[in-house]
Amino acid sequence: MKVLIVDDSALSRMMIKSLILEKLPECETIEAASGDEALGIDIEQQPDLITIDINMPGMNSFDAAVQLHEKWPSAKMAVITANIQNSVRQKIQSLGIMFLAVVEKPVTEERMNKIIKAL
Amino acid sequence: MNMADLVGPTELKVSLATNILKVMPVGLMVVDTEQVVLVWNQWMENASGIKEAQAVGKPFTSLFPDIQYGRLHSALLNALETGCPSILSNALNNGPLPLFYGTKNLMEQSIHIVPFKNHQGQRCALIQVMDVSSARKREDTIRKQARVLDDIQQQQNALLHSIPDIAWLKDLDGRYLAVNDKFSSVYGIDPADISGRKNSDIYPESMAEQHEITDRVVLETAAEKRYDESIVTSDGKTMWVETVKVPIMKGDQIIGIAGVSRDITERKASEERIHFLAHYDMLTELPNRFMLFEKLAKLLAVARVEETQVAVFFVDLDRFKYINDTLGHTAGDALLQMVAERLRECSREVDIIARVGGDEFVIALAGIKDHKDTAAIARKILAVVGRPYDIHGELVHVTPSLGISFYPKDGLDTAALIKNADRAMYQAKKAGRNGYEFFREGMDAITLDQFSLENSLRGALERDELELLYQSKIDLRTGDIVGAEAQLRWNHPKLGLIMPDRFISILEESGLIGPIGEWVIATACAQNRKWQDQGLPRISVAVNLSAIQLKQKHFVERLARVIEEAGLEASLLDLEITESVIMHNAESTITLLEELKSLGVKLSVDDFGTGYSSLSYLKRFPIDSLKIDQSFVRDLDSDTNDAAITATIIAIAKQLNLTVIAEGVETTEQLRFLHTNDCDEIQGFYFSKPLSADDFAEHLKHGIPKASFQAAVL
Amino acid sequence: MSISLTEFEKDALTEIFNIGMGRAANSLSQMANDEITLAVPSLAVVTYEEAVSILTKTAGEKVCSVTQRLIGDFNADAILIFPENNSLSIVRLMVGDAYPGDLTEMEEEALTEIGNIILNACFGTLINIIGGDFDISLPSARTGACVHILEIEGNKSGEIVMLLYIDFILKNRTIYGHVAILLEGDSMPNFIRKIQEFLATL
Repeated sequence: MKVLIVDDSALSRMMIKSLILEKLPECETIEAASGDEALGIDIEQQPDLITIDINMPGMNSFDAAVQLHEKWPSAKMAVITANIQNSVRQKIQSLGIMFLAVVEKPVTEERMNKIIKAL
Repeated sequence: MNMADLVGPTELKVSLATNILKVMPVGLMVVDTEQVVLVWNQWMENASGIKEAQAVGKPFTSLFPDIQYGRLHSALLNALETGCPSILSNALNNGPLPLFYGTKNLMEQSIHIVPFKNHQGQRCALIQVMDVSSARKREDTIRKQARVLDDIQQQQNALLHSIPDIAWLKDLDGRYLAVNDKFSSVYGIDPADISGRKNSDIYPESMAEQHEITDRVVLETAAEKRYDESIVTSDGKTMWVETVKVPIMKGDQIIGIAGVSRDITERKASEERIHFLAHYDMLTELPNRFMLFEKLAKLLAVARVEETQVAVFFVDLDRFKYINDTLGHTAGDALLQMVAERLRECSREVDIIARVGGDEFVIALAGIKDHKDTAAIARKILAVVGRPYDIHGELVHVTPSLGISFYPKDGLDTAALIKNADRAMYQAKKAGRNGYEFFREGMDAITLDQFSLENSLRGALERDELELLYQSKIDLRTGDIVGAEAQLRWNHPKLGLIMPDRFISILEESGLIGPIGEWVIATACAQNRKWQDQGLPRISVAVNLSAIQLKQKHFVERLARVIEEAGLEASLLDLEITESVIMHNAESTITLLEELKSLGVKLSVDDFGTGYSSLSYLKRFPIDSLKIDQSFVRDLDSDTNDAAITATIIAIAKQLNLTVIAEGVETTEQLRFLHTNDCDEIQGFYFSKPLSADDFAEHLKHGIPKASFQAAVL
Repeated sequence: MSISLTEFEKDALTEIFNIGMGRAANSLSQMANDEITLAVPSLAVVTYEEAVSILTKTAGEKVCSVTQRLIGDFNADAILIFPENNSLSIVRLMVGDAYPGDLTEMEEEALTEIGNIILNACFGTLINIIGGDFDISLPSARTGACVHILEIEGNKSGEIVMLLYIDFILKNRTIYGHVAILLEGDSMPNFIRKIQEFLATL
């Protein structure tokens, strides 16, 4: 099981990683601090799950999500973000990607469970 | 003393707390970490109807099963989990709990959620509910009032904007409070920008000053002020308005000024037109009589001070009536306009030219020093006005007669000066027209004031002031009286006997020529008939016709009727028409003459030699006789030309088979000449002056004594 | 007194603030029925006067504010700041039916609630993440110059404070505001320790 965590905040990456490992101790985690960085990762890496924060500086996170999906079509994606206003939700839905979940930060155990269950 | 001393042992604390909860005028609830109700105070009991016993121990949310807890719930959770207190304001939350005051009134609630820890360190939350219904009511009232004020404001604005005139409101400091759409379109200012502006911000300086002054007056007198003013709009146009300013009162206090300005440009234009009409002659645009008096008075005042003279010219166009009637009124008007122009040519800016009558003008010249200069000016006027005029392609000649009077020599006021200039003008006419005369004392006192004469003439017929005199025509071969020329006289009650040449023009101009002309013909015919009935010798009676009479509609029919009614044989009526009248429009005249001839009357060409005859027409006219003008006869003795002409005329007449009669025969020499040259008839003072009907009857009865006739002629 | 933060610590602080503001933005967005755009948070460790100056520059001379105070292992003040006329706008946006003139009683209460929601979101998130026991005051609204708004008990002249602030704007309207967290200088070591404790649990 491989999870790619895309978030510009080290703290958030740590928190998400911590929660995942709590539930799935054998899970391998890769981190990227931006959409660019995530896209730059070797395609061989093939994550099973990608969590992405759509409020990152730099490359447009929405574009990043789309391109990551194109890169690894088989990977499941979940949005973990502080910004889940309605307008944002709509934007996410319009991307045409079947997201596992759209979760509000801070990610709680409950919410993480929801994601993992859906895998 | 400290808290412990104050509140004492625990029981007291509890009892204190319990009592506080009971009396507090707010709802107080305490829930534990599981949201189970621990405390429920009296107020809550009253407001919710749920007794303390029912509430305590139950989950909070179970107490009100039907409501949407929403924010209340999440706030409560937040408080219990993280210790964050919350406010649920009445404005943003609509009475979340079913609490009532009275029986049915849902309470407006303001809720505070305050987390705290009990003495065991467990988290609890205090929920405090306040009834803010009255505050809400107060606020609603204020809002309603604000809306009403808004509406009033809007109504005011609507009212203001509904006024089609310029309207505005100002406060006591002269700052604009509101203006309407008309105001903003005229002055180019948005109503939204007007607030706080002053007069000086909107109007040009002089206008602003005016406004300041009138505003002050209104404020000081607390009375309405109404006045006309000329304003300049934002596109630079000038507009006349009637402005009304009134003080805005609140009880006894003045709190501002309201103003309305109505566009009276139309009215002003009318007023100006009326003023113009009242002061100026419409046709020539010269000042009229009325204005002449005003202006001349001013001119005289100045002359009085400067001790200079003013010359007053009275200008009358000769034979204008004739021209007007023969050429038509349009042509006549055009001619008058041109004459006015010529007169303007002759005068300076400072002089006055006015049209005072049909063909009468007055010119007043200021700063006159020398009479000699005036004569030169008079000659100039004669020359300029006498130049031919092109009226619709036709060349027309008209000449003026001028009369001149001076201030102060000939009069001290306008009326006197004009009257005397008029008298002088009359002299000029008598002297032969186309000339000028200076006023001299002792001039004919009879005034030719058109208006008064015309007025008197109107009733002259009814008042029997008109009379016909008859002058005999003598056959030069036999010495018999063969005809009588009827001449009109006017016995003016004040002015005495007035000769026709003095009032013929008035007759023609006033239209009186019609009825009076007809009366003349009727009277002459009747008179002739009477003479015949008296057994006197048969003669013809001659009547002078004017061009106007000839142009009358149905003149021929009327004439026929008159002759018939008089019972006179048509051949005994002789119509005398002047040469110039006959020759003018000769073609159409022929038709008319033929119509007249068909009645059986005689036709004579009067004043022959003074007009412009065409011999060919002379041949074609159905006329019976020619009357040689007296001017030729008068100079027979002295002027060989006239003698030759006269002889020629007689010869031509004879050739054309016309009877020829010479007028104005006064001397034996004239008589003899005419006799020698085969003139058929004569008329003149030599044998008889014009006589009254009765006197003529006597004259006709006796005839000319043969002996004296023979002596004279041979 | 260690007042310097490592990069990671700074990042953590900023992220916590971000998350809190994110939640606040959600609530605000629903209330205002408009999208909220959050700027990037700024973090500065400065003197109290400098903090006042920074906020005055950001928010303007006359402001409306809602303040909540956090007292516990460390002390901090959270302040929601609106430029004065803006505060009228946002309240009227939510309350509707504007009454011309200054904020009425009801409107002020509404503003206080708005502030409360936002500030609770910040504090709540903080407490959720790093834990701890705190007393939080009820929100109170004030109007005036920034310098007066920030005359909060505990802020002493010359003292060092940690200032964390973020700007937000209602997308379809010209309503914008700022949230500032002022951490007392004395509290900073404890605060940092709490952060470090938390990070260690990950």
